[in-house]
Amino acid sequence: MPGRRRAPGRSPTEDEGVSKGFRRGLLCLALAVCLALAVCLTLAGCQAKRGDEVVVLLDGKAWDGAEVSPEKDGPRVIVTLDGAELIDLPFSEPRTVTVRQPDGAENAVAITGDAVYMAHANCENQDCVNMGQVTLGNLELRVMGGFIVCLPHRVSVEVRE
Amino acid sequence: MNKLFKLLLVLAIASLTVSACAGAEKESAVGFYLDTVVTLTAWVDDPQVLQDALRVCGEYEGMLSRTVEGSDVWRINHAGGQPVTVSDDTLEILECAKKVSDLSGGLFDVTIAPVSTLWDFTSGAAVLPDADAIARAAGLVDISKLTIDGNRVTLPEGMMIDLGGIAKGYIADAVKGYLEGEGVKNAILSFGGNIVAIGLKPDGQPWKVGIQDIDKPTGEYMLVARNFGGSTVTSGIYERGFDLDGVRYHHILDPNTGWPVQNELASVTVFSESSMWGDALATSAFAMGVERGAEMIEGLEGIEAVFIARDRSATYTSGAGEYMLD
Repeated sequence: MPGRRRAPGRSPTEDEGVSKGFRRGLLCLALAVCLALAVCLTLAGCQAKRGDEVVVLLDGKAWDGAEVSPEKDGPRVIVTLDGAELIDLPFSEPRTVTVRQPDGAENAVAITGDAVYMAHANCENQDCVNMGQVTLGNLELRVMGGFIVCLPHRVSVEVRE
Repeated sequence: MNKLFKLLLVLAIASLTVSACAGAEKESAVGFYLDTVVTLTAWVDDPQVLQDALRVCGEYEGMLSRTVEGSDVWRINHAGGQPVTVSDDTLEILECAKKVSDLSGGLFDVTIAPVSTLWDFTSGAAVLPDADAIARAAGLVDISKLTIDGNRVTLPEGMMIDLGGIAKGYIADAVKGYLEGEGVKNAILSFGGNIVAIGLKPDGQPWKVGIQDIDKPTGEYMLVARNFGGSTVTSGIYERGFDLDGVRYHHILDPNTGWPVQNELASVTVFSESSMWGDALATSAFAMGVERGAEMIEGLEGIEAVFIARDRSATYTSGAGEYMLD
């Protein structure tokens, strides 16, 4: 290291020149190993992070985040987690939306084209599954309006006209 | 020239329409408080007001929850018989609870917690609690032993309160008041089985509230009620509970026995201005049965109810027709 004083009592020898080159080689190797390790760790970190994320599946396939039918003329189905929007879909197009959380919590929302309901949830109370269907006809009458909510999983589905 | 005039006219109408609607947009928000789902739908200028309203719910939960350590209710329950100073809000709820207990001949009692904590109506598991434990716990239920002196509340040691049957209504009223203070003119708020509205729908029509068909899946309605900017609360056997050996075990407990009330009723819907009163009265009227329940409601000004029996017959109090569609 530059600026550091050599240990006292030692004088430079020719051997030292050789060992200097050797050390440099070692240093380079160490650096390379470190770099490789860092790359591996970063990759592994990404992998681990991916597992920590909430996954949204559309008809069983991972959703890439692209807007689905962005023309928002008709009624929409909005799925939220902890109050934050996950996905916004047209009410009239039949689909299944699955929300998978890192802790294993899973909710499957069925959109039939004229109704929306919680088809499946692995929550403890099954309240959301028992909340029935939201249709354009009963939207106004339901106690929770256009909402279906899974309280244990903090997932909500809203049909918005 | 004529064309230009037409165009201008169209533009003028369009801008008028836009400016008329621009102020308030329909917005919704969902929250989870006191083991219930809260949904707020309101016509607001800024959706942030709904998030602020949810924060108000959170503050009340921190005051009124039985399980949140340090809440007024928690402190009353853990005071070991010593007096506890509580907020004006908690006091107002407890005073209402005492009045409704008197009105219902003791069938509404917020000191039900020793009993209600033995029951599990939420997990879906059909398990009956130990009958002896229920009997012992029922012996600890008696709101007349809860004393109020100014803001100081004293509950004998061993007794416990749970405001589950009344706090939702109080919070619903409070959130309504908060939103009105923020200038909201049209809103429909749902707190579990409590519906509270602000004003009418933006089109000037009353809000509609479906009364669940007891023999059909959730979301199919037997009757449709109208809400003119007040409170509509339904208490029913289909809300929380389980079926076992042909018996419906539901969350409306008889304070005398500690067991679910078994009478001719499937649900009671109460129309009132205050949702706190509506909440407590719906539970009470249910526990009292059609005859005594309707008699109690008739004796109260500005409050109406519709009773749905398990045989599907409906009984209305004298002014309830006004709240029903058709």
